Amino acid sequence: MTVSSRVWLPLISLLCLLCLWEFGLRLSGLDQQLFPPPSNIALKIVDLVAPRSDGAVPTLLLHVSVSVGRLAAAMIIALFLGTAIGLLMGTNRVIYRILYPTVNALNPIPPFAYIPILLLWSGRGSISIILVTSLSASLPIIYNTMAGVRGVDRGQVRAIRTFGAGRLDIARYVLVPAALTEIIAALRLSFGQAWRTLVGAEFIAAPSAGIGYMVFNARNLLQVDVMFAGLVAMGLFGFLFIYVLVGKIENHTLVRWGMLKQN
Amino acid sequence: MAGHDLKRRKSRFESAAPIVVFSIVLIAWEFVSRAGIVNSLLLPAPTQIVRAGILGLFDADDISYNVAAHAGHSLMLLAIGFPVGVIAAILGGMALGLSTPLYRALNPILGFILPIPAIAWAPIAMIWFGLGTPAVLAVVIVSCFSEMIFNVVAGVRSVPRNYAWQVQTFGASRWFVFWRVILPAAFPQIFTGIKLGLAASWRSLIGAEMFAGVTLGLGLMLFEAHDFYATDVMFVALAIVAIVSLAIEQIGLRAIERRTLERWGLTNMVET
Repeated sequence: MTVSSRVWLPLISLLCLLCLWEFGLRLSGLDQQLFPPPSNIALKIVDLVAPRSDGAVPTLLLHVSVSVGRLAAAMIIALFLGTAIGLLMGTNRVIYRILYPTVNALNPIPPFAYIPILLLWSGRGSISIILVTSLSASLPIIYNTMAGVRGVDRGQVRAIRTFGAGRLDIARYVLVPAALTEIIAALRLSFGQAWRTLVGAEFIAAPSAGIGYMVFNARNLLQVDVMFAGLVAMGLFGFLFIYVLVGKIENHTLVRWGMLKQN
Repeated sequence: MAGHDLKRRKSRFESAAPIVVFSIVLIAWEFVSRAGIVNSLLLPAPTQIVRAGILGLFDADDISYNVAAHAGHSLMLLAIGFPVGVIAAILGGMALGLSTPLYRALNPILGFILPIPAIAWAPIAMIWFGLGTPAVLAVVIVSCFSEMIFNVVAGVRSVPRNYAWQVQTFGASRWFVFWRVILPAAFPQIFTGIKLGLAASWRSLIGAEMFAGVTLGLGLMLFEAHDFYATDVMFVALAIVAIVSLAIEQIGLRAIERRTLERWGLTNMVET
């Protein structure tokens, strides 16, 4: 398989699919408002990201930036909380015994199920959305941090202790580095879950902005082309976060340390 | 000897700790809510929640509080949507896994479509297929499919080609190769996909039920309880969602695992 066919084959097949979609729809006589052909969607996307005459931020960019801000906030919370809880669970047997069944019980619960309760406690808006998103993002980090800490060779801890290391030194030089590789390995899953939860939470709990809000609002107005524009943005940014950003982080850390093959 | 005794006491303390802590949390929760330190509308006491749960299970007069009806409807949708998603993902994944040109052509496109959260298709499904059950079913199928398909592809592609060549030498048909060689050999990875797919289906089912306009379902029950400030009912619904989620994971998946992997002697391969 040559390089050019690696590029051309997907492009050609994409083009074929789009043509099929475009002409199939136009020939079928279905309502183009409800079943927009790809050309209409493309025009709509251009319309939504083009600079506006009144100087306002283009609609799609506004909603995407709000969502990305929420995602960033949620991921930061999840990283701190997940690492802290994971470290505690990995180092303290009592805390492990208490929290492990709790985390295991929380894990299969759909994060969306917390949204009504969060709405009650913190209302519609960014706080509820960020909370539920960070909850769903922190579970993989908790699991992996814990596994990383528990997987540390006792000999390493004893060795550094022989040289007079205290508890903080052990955490700083042995446990955190060991957990770090696992945390980075959890990022892909974590980002994926966060992105999914964020969009769903925005459907229900966003009062005025966010990519999920944009799509849901477009539904009420039957603007299927706007909804598809939102979906394209979700796919693009999901791809950017889950594959490109996490891949970059992995290349700079795990791959450089020789723990993972270049992908 | 004293050290040994201390160790035993310590381990007994460790095993009792969870029960002690959980009981303290429950009692504190009960007290805080009953004493009015926290508005019981925002945080109903555990006993109040249990009462609402029992009433809801046995009092069928008011349908919006009938836990059994809601849970049954959710499970029914899962029972329809999840297998459809699994079959679609297995068929699609087989096609992609067996045909290299198809894989090369579609893999980048899928890599772009699959990060779209399945629940994001719900608003479009509501317009195309109608409010309520059809939209929720579409979301369940899409979420199961998109969670599973790459596992199926990876499983099929990991089956060594000479497995197929060997049986073909003895005159096996393509159908036989597909059905008796590739599918079982790829199954451990497909099973991982089925697990992920079931979790994803259930997750998006609950989410979609909250806004897709269904008349029954646990997600709807949760959301309506919020609208009516029936906080105790909301917590009951959350508890039921949690219990059903655990049950699906523990009972449902174990059953599939026993019927397939363990019978075929493939369990070790799953763990590695």
